[in-house]
Amino acid sequence: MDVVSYKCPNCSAPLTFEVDSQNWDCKFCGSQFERSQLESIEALGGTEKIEPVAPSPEVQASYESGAVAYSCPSCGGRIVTDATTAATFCVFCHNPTVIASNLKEEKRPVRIIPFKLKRDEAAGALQKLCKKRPLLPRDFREYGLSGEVSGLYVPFWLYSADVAAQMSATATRVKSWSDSNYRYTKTDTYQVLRSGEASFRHVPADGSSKMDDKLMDALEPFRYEDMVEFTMEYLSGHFAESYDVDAVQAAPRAVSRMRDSAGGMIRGTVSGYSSVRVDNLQIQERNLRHMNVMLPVWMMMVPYKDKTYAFGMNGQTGKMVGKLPLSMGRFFALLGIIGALLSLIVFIGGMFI
Amino acid sequence: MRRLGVFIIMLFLCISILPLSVAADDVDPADKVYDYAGLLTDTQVQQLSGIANEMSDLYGMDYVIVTTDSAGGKSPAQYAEDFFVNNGFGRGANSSGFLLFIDMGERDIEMRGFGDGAVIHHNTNIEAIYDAMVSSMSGGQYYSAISTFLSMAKEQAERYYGDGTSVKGEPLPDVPSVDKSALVYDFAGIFTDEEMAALQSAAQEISARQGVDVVILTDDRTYGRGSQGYANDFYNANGFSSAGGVVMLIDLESWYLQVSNIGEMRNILTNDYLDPLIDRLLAKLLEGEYYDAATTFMSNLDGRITRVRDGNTRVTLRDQYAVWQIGLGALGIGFGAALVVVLIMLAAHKKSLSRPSGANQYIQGPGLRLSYRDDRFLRTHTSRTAIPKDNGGGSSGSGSSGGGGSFSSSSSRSSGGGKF
Repeated sequence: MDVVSYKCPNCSAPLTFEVDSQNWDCKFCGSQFERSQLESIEALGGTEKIEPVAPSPEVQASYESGAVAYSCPSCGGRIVTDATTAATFCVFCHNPTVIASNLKEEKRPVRIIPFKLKRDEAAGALQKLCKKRPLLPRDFREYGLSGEVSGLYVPFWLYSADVAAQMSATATRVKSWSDSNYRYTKTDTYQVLRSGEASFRHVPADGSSKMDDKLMDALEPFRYEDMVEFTMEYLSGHFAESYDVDAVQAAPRAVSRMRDSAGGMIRGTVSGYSSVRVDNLQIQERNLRHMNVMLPVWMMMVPYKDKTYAFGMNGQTGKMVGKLPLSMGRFFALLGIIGALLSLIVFIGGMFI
Repeated sequence: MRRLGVFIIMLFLCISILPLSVAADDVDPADKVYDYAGLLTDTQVQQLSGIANEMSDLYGMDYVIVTTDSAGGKSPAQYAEDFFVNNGFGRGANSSGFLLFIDMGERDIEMRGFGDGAVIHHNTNIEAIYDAMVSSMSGGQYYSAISTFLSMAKEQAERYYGDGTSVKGEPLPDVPSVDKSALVYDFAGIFTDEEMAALQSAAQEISARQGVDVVILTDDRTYGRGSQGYANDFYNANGFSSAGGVVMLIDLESWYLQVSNIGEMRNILTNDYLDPLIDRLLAKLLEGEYYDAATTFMSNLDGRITRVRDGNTRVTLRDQYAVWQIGLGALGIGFGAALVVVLIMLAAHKKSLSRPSGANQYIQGPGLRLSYRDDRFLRTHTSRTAIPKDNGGGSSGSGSSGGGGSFSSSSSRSSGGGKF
């Protein structure tokens, strides 16, 4: 089964994963299916296999890695995807479609955190982010209301490793005292040696080159206790990507963070000195493991004045991140207003003190 | 109860005697040098006493020198004042004099002027004497130090009295006799008729309202008196109010600005008020803005009198700076603070995209497991630096009037000194 569309076995309407109920609901007949029932859906005829069709040459040319087209089982429209698309919608009838062939074998995630927050909450979070931002262009919030909001499962690599650190440092302890004529300073110098090891578990790094690494990093942390075994059905009703940055390519980002933490911790074990100079610090990671998972992200794209601003919300915790536009006009206007007010207050005060 | 009664009586006696504790029996106002610390030989005492007596007669005030090993718990300024006052020193109607007090116990020098002595030996002059004599004191050359005190005091007195002819018995030319109701006298001819009219109107209005005589005087000569002497004599000779008044003299002979105050004004126009004001006025005079300087002086004076009489003796920013200067400062402070506020807003604005720097939140277990820990002592080093000695210096006390960086008045007290 390469491409499937999950259908209600009762009425053949599309089945989508619903955030509120954490079940698969049919919005047409109201049927609701739990996770344990999903395996029987196929047996009940609840999935429909979709065969690929040839995309037009114009469409093919617009995709770098080659487009794949499918005929929507609901309306017959063309669903065009690229090599990393794992779940999408028909642009004509919005029928959810899972491209299972892009999640085969090594591309298949081991675990997934299902969406816990809904589209409305994502849109609301963006509005909230825009509140009490005096330097935000006045009309940006209105643009934010009309922005595109997409629920997306992003492929992440979770790295675990044991990191060993060895440090050699020179530290000094300074004491001062004085008598009536002289001030004395005694400096004791020590060589400080430390070795230690720390274990890190599930340091994330996204595995999609389409995602802004900075934005994805800022979405942390995810609560891994909500992670469940991956099944295709979770993707129905959301977009999803398979990774195109493999575990070896993404590892340096996570390893670098582990090394920074290990270095900071071993430096933190030196205390009680007036100064510490690190002469040598060696950090090695070993037993590096990784796991391919999918994590839920609400992406919001807001076009504003010839530029599109991307915002992301952690689909599990609701943490909202993104770079808001800056109004230099408001910056200088505020500077002028506050400056004038403060100057007036200081001037009036200065005339009476 | 009996012990308590004795204690209260003793306490009462001590408190009663305390103010007179420096009124020694062996003090005769005719003697001017009291070397209780034994710093001088008898001959040196006689020589210095002779000089001090001569100066006292010449300038009409007592020049007194006191040395001691202990001020009995009093501050040097208080000891000096008590010694001078309680022992009956001081000449003339305002008990003028100038006292040098050397406390060997505290290694402190205190100089204090009384009456005309405070006018002539004002704080700036006291600082000059202190600077000149402190090195001799530090080196144990006490006679030399006290001689320096007397010679510099004499120079200052001579400078105050112009060429000194008045104290040598040769009469000085009379200062101009004027109609005292005019209050503004432009003998140097630097004001236009309109300016004169405006200044006179303002001076008369302020004088009437505040009950003091505000006199503006310009001249290109000082009748052999120097600026201070001319300002004071002009005021006194023309019968201006002795209860309270002020003379602003623009002296074009020596390009000097003199502000002298009389009576109540001595407590109002204090040095900390006059110093910055005179700086501002001098800046205007250097630009030839004589009229502006005079109007600025009067307007500031008016506000100052009102505030002090209302109980607010603090020197305000308005006393120290022009309105435009306060405005400029306010703009600097206001926009500086605004920039900080807006930059904080900017930082908060950009905070919505901050990346985690490390991976501390993904540490498993208790954190770093130390397998080796060693702190080896390598060496020790001790250095020492000499503590610079604080020789003190500076001056304190209440002066009264000022001009061009130095001040004068007809009656007040000045004091100053420091460690040696």
